[in-house]
Amino acid sequence: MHTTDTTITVRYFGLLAEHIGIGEERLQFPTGTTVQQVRGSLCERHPALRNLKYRIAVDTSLPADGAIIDGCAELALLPPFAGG
Amino acid sequence: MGRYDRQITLEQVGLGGQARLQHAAVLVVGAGGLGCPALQYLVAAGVGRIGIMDGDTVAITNLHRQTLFNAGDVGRKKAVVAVERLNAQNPDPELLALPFHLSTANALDTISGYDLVLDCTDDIPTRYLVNDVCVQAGKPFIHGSIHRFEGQVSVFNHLNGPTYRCLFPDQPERDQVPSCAATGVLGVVPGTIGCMQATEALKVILGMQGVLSGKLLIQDFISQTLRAISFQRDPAQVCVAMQRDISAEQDERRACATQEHDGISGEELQHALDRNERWQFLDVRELHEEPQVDRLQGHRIPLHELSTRIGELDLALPTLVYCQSGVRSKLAVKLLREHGVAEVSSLEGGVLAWITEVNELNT
Repeated sequence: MHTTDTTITVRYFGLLAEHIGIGEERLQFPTGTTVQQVRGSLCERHPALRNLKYRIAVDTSLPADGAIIDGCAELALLPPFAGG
Repeated sequence: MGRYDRQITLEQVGLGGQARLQHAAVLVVGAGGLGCPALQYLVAAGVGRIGIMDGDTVAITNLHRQTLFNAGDVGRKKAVVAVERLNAQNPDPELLALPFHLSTANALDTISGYDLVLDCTDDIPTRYLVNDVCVQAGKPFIHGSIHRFEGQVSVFNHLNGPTYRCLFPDQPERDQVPSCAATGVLGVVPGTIGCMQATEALKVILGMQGVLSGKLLIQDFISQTLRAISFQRDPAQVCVAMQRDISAEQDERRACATQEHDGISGEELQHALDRNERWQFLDVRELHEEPQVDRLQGHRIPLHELSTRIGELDLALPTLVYCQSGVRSKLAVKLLREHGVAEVSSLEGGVLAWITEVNELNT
């Protein structure tokens, strides 16, 4: 038994990309990481995320905070857009 | 041959579908970048009754994306001009100009008179208001929104489907999400998203399969990729909308209007400068952003680098933060306060307002 890290593409949409200065990056997460833990570690990595409101999509769905992200290819951080 | 023959030929429309369109009543909230193209296609398709709600007047800076208007309309009410143009396009629909903004005072009465709403607005509080009133009145609504080269489309509250709050339960503050005026916009982006909203509206009216209910479509116009994200109805968030007492807010909003001021207007700043008050200026725009204002030269630290570069500032001086339009600078003020910088304020309306109000660049 051993845990391995999975490399996942993280995409930042809308205002988030501007606040942290990049649109996407590849990051490693340990096996068994939950959506809530992703939120925590991304906030640590990019403190600007702390004040912003967004949802985290795992591939094509918006799972609950406790869901485990193992096996996903992409995380998308989605803020609401205002413009029209 | 009739005007609608080419769509009646479609199996999904037919004579029955055309009759449904003719009997439908649709409210389009916002006749801007999203609303203009959406309206043109709804009118062309022969939707029977359409309310066009917008309190703004046409500005010259609207014309690159708001395709119903021309230079001669500048200064006129958008809703009124839109009705004129759309009547000429197709005299069949009954069009009603509602030349005022959606507010807590008028939302429930207005929305209750229609079958379906298109949210073509451009600020976050109005989008939550559209949601809450549509939930209370039992109306489906088609959401469209953009940020620079990205757009979002979804259909909310359709046949017991998820609502806007089910997708975004935490409402951001108004100044956390910038408008098109603040970020810039290429006309085709809202143009495309507005057409997608009209598509969904027609599908809902026609009772077609595949309505974007429980799905958020996100289009990235630079890479031209589309993502569809699925999400569920959250009964707790539906309750939040149902229980919002919209009529009680009308007085509170007026009372709040004068509070919460960590900004300084261009005029106030000019007076302070004329009195030779010492300020430390901090421009939080990206390094490529123009224009520069000589009189406000100081530190230049893009917002996303600010938390790691606070040490470069002189904390003994009062600090004035500015950006292009006053959105990022407010976030910067919040961040600096969290780091213990006490005397800090944001230039309201940013450099753009300063140039307009104070009418100076390099003096």
